[in-house]
Amino acid sequence: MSRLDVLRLSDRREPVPYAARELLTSEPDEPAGKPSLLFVGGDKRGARVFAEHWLGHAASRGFTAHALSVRGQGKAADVKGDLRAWAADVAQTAASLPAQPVIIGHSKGARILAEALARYPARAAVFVSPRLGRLIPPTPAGAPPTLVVGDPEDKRAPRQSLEKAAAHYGVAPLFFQGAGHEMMLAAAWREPLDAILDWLDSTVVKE
Amino acid sequence: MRQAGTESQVSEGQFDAYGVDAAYDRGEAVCVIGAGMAGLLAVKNLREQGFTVDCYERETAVGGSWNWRHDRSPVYSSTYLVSSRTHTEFPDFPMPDDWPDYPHHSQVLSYLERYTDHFGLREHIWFGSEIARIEPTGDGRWDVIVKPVSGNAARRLRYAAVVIANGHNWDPRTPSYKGQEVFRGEIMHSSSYKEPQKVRGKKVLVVGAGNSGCDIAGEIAVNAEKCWHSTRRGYWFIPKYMFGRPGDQTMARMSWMPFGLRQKVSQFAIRRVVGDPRRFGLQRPEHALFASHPIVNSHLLHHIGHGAITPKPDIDHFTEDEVHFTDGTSVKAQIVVMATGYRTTFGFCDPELLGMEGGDDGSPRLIGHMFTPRTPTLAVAGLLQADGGIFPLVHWQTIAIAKWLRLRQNDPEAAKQFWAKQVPEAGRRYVHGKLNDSPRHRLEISYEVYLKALKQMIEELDGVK
Repeated sequence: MSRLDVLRLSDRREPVPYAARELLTSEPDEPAGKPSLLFVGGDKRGARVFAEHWLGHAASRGFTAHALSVRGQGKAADVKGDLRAWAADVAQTAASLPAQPVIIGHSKGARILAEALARYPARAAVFVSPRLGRLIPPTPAGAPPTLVVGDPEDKRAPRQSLEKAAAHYGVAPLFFQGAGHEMMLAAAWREPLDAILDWLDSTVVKE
Repeated sequence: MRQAGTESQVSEGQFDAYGVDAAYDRGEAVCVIGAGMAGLLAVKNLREQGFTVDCYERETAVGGSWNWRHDRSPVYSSTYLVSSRTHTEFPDFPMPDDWPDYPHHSQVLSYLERYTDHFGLREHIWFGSEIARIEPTGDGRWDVIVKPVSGNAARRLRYAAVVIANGHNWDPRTPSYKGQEVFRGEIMHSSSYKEPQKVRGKKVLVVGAGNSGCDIAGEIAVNAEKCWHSTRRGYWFIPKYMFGRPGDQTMARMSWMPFGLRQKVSQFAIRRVVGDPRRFGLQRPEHALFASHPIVNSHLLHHIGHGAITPKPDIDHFTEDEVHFTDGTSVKAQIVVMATGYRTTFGFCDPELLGMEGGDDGSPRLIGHMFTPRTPTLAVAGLLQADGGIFPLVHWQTIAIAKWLRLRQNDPEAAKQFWAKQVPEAGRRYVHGKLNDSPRHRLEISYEVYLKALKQMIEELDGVK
C-alpha cells in the first residue's frame, strides 16, 4: 500500500509551530568526509542517552554525531507535541545541517524517524529497537538505504516487531542477542554501534 | 561523495576537444536547462533516482528569478512571497520554522542556495552556459548545443533526456497602445523596476493587476508624488491574513467542503472582510473566485483608501505627455510601469517539439503540464501558475519526471504501457470546474486537482516498476 502523501493537508491547515530543540554534537578530530549522524530517542530523556557512549565513539570513527531532543524531550521538555510535530522537529534539524545526515531512531524515536522520513530524504535510516506501534510507515522521501537493529529477546521491541519493521522497508533485521532494549546504555554498547557504523561505511561512505 | 564512484565525472577542459559537429556522448546522463527553483529540484530528484545530471545555467549563480542579482530577475526590493512559508517550502526540505509567515525574496534565495549545498548539487551545474539549441537525434536521445554566455565556443553534447526548467517569468510581455511611440515619458516593464528611489517625486502610472502589479503599485504609492493604477477588469483580492492566519491556511481549512461550496463560502467571507471593490473605484470581479489566478494583496485597497493610489480603467491611447483611459479621463504620467506579465519562451527548441500551435503566445500543450506527446524524453518542469505555492508542485513534477525516465530505462515494456495511457491526456486542464481558456490562462491549474493527478501518476510509475 502506498502511503505517499502529496497533499499534506494537516500541514497546510495547521503548520507545526516553531519550538526550541536541543542538539548535542560530537565532532571528529579530523574531518573524514563521512556523512553526519542524527540520533533521535523515544522518551523524555531525549538526546542525552546518546551522549553517554555513542556520540563520542561515532565521532572517533570519523562521523560528526548529533543527538536531538524533539519538543517534549530533554532541555526542550516544556513544549507539548505529537508525532507530526516530533517528525517536523527531526526534518527541521536534518535540513539545518550542512549536508544530508544519516538518521538513527531508537525505540519510540524509530516511530518519529519513520514519520520524519516522509518529510526529509535521509542519507540512510537506521531503526534501533524500533517500537513503531500501530504506525504504518509512510513512503519515505528519496528511498534511503535502511537498517533495522535489535535484540531478539528484547520485550519492548520483540523479534516479530523487528521483523515487521524490516519487512516493511524490504530489508533483513540485524540481531544482537543480549544487547537489551537500551543498547546505547548497556555494558556492551560498543558492539551494535560498531555494526551500524560498519554498515554505513560500506553502504553510504564511498571514496 | 555520493555515488562518486558510479558516475563519469566531467572535468574542466574535457569538452574542448569537441566542437558543434561531433557530439560528445554523455551516455545515460540527463541535461537540465536552468538552475532556478525548478532546475534545482530536477537535478536533486534526478540524482536521487540515480541519474548523472548536467545542468546548464546562463547566470553565474543559482536561484533563477529569485536571484535579484540576475539581470532577468523580476524581483524588486519589496518582493515577498504571496503564498505562506509552509505552503511554499519543498515537501522534503522545510524552510526554517523560525522564519516569518511570508519570507522576503532574499530569504527564498538563501533557501535555494542552502538546498543546492545541502544536496551537493553545485558540482553538477555548469554556470555561465547558455543552451543555443536542442535537437532530437531520432532515437529518443538529444543533441544539446551549449555555448558560454561570454564567447562563442559552442559544444555539442548528446543526452538521454532533457528537462527544460528555464522559467517563465523572464521574457517581458509588453502590450502596445495607440500613440505609445510619441509618448515622451518613460515606459518600463515591471521586470526592470527594482528600487523605489527611481520613482521618488515622480508621477507614476502602474498598469496591470497581477500580483506584481498590485505589489509594485503599493510600493510606488508611498514613494512617488502620485500613483495611478490601471486595471482592465475586476479582481478578487485575497488578504494575506484572514481570521488571523495566512489566507492560504484559512482556505486549506475549508478543503473538506465540496469545491462549489468552498468557493461560495470564500466569496462570502472575502466580500464581508474586504468589501465591495466598487466602493474603492475598482470594478467588481465578473469571474468567480479561484476561476482565475487570485491576487493576494492586503495593501492595495488600503492605499486607495488613503488616496495614495488612484484607480484607473484600461488605457485607450497615449499622447505626447498624457495617458488616456477608456473612460475618457487622462493623466500626465512621467513614468509608466507595465506590470503586464511575461511570455513563455523557449528560444532553443522548435515550437512543434513542445506541441505549440501557431498563433499561441507560447503555451505548449503538454501531458500533465510536463511531457510532450511527441518526444517522451523531453520534459518541462515548473511551467505552471497555481492558486497556491508552486514550489511543492514542481517538486512532485520533477519526482514524476525522474521516475518516468527511470522506468523507461529499467522496464521499456511497462514504460510503453504507461505512455500509451498518458498520451491522450495531453492538454488536459487540471482545474475545478470552469477556468478561462485563453492562451494567457493555459498555465493555470488548481492546486489540489493537479497534486492529486501527480500523486496518481507517481504511484503508477512506482507500481509498474
